[in-house]
Amino acid sequence: MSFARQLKELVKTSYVAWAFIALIACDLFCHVAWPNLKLDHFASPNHSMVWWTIDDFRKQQKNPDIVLMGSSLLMHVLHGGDAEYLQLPQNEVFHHKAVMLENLLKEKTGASVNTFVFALAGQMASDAYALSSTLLTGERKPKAIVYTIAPRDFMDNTFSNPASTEIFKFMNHLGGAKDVAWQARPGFLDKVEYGLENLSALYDHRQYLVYLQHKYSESVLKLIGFKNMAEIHTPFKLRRLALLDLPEHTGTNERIACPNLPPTFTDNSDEYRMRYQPFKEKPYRIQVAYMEKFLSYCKQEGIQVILVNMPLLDQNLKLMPQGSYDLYKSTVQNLASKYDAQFLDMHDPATFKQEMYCDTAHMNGKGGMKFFTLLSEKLANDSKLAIGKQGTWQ
Amino acid sequence: MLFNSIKYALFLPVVAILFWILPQRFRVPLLLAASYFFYMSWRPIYIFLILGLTVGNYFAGLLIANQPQRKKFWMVTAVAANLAVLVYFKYAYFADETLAAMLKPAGIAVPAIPFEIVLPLGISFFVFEFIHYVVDIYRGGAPVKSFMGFSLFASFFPTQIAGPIKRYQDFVPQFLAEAKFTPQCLDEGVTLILFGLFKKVMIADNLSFFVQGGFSHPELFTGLDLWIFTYAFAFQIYFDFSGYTDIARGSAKLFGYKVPINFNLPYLANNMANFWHRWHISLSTWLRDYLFIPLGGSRCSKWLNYRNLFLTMALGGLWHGAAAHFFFWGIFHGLALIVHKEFQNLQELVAPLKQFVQSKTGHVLSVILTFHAVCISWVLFRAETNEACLSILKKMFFLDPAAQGASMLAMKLPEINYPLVYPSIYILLPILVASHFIMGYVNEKKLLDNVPKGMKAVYCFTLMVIILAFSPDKSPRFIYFQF
Repeated sequence: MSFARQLKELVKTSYVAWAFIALIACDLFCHVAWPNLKLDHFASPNHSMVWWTIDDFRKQQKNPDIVLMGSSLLMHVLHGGDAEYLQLPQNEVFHHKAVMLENLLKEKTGASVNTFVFALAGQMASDAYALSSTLLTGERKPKAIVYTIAPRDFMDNTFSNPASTEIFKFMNHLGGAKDVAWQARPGFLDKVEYGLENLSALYDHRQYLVYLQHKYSESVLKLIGFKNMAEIHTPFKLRRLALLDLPEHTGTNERIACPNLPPTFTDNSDEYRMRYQPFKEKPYRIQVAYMEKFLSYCKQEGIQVILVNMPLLDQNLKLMPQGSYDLYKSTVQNLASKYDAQFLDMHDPATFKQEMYCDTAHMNGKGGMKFFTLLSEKLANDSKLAIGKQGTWQ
Repeated sequence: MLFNSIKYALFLPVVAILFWILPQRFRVPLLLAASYFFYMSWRPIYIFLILGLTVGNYFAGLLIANQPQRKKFWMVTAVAANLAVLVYFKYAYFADETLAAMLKPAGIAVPAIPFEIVLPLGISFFVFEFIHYVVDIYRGGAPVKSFMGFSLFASFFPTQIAGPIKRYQDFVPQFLAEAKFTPQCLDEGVTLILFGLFKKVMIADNLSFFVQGGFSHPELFTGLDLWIFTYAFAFQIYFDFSGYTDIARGSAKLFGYKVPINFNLPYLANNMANFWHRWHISLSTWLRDYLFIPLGGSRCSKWLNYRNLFLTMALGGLWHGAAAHFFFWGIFHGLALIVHKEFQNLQELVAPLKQFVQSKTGHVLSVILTFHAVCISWVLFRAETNEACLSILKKMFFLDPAAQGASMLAMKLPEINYPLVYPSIYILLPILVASHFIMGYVNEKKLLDNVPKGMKAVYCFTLMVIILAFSPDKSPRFIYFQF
């Protein structure tokens, strides 16, 4: 029997084949139906820091004038710095405005500058491109992006590929960074999974379907008498277990930055040694290429970019392979000048002393305040930004 | 390569299509190559272990068959060699630590093993298959002539990691015979795989986090909560392992091969002996044939019979892992089987008791009692430390009268994990219990035999949609992979 006849016979007699055909038909129907259903692509049962940040960004009534972007280095500066400045604990889940920076800019220029901060741990240059090209478009476009960078954003051996981060995946899910989605997945299986997402509407929208299932299940629970579920707080001992399973999940009261903390210092040299060594040329070049795409996108959209080289302790710098810090700096400087961006080198060991750090890379509240003080001075005096000199900033 | 991974979802259809496209003479080599590839995808170096054992047992089988005067010697040597490999990889640390603890009071220091021993995946299963092979040849079975066929028997990828433990007499002839593709192979195979995946990713994985919370921090929960965690674990381990077995059987069916069943609704057992006829059947029959019967079985004095039961179950417990709690779990089952035997003897003496046990009410009560006895044994199996085990059992048996009902916290727990088809354990557990009874009824009445194809298609379609949409991105390993 020929293969075609065998296949025809199979389709005629196999119920699994019928089920498979029904699945394809159902998926095609979903392809057609989804756009008309106006699904909320942001809806997710998994509330990570990325989700909280984007959720907050969507709720902003006013478009931000300045968007600050960066990794955990910026997170520490923002939350610790503002907590110290305001003398109030800051709930990191909801704190996405650089309050101290806004106030200092107001003092120095008289302009009310509205900020929004995408400070997300582990953010790479590829994530910055995905975030900006997906969210900072059209009406949501800021006047300027202050992108705080450090060598780890380009050379991190614990990072597998650009599409492996939650930020990149989320942006892809929102329909962004499609131009690089395929090349950002060098692995065969990653490509297969991405292909499946594009092919199957059901698979692509699984996060939304799970969200719906949670929502309706909660309604069922309420119907059977469980009305006060939201009032129950899971003890942290149990949350720890959940975090082992789903480390990115963050509860609303789980990350609080407090002021007046006693100075502590953790030597995280081993961690950073692992990140930096050995220097891998290919992933570094890939991240540089994403940085170039980011700068090119911003130039094309008319967004002023200020690249801020973050301060690090000398102890951290010494962990990098010979010459790699200079290579990173010169590359970023060259790119900045190529795309009319500005490069602010805030790495100044004389200003940022060890007592301003909580480890070899991340600053504490005091360091955060110092950072915002210096940054506000530089931004206020920036002739290109011209804060306070244009009506639009008022 | 996990069964519930994209890798396997690509690997299996490719191998199955190639299998049916290729002429018969290339099919066994193809499956063998695929099985070795499957094994090497975890730790390539361990391929030498499985190859070494295959070569050794193949020749041992031939020697036993060809040298009748020395067959006992060859059989004992082969069994000892297989056990030595198993003991080295699985029990070396345990033996070292136990010895050190025992000799410490005498002031003798036993040094720790200075190198790392990584437990090869599936070793407990394929070593048992090799032992079965050499013992059966010794008992008069015909050895497998085809080296390729023998190699595939031991390494066949669907059953390689966690069984079912196959019998060579049933399995080898299947792949040495000409295979012919029928739509039935596809239908039965895919249906089993889908059902297995559903059990694993939709039920077992969702229960897993809930169970972990309760067993890691029993101090946070009431006695009633801990009973619920224990019920949840009972279903988690059942759906995890039977889900794995279904995928294994379904994968084998795609090549037209039959692999023995491992489970038959175990929680409907009405006594402990019946439970072991329904739970991990391939292991319990192996223990019966290669441990219990050689020890003397039941055709001996009552006390010797009890000793044999006790030893078989205690060693069966230890087979699960080199840890005291598995040993105690085995001992519990050994004792439970002895109690059951004594109860049977009592029934023979007290006629009304026998009548009651055989009545409908008696049967239901027996099922409930057996299920709870099994649940208590699961606490021994699952508890993270001996202290935690005692504390859980204490709370379970001495329910705090001040604690009214189960806590809301226990119900909130599963909500944390994502994704979750069932938000509440109080909804899920009764459904699972009911499904067990319904399946028992369906099997008894053979209702599935005459289901129209259209209904079966709807069933498969529903499973496909649920798995596609609700499978978690990260799924824990199958529990029995660690054994």
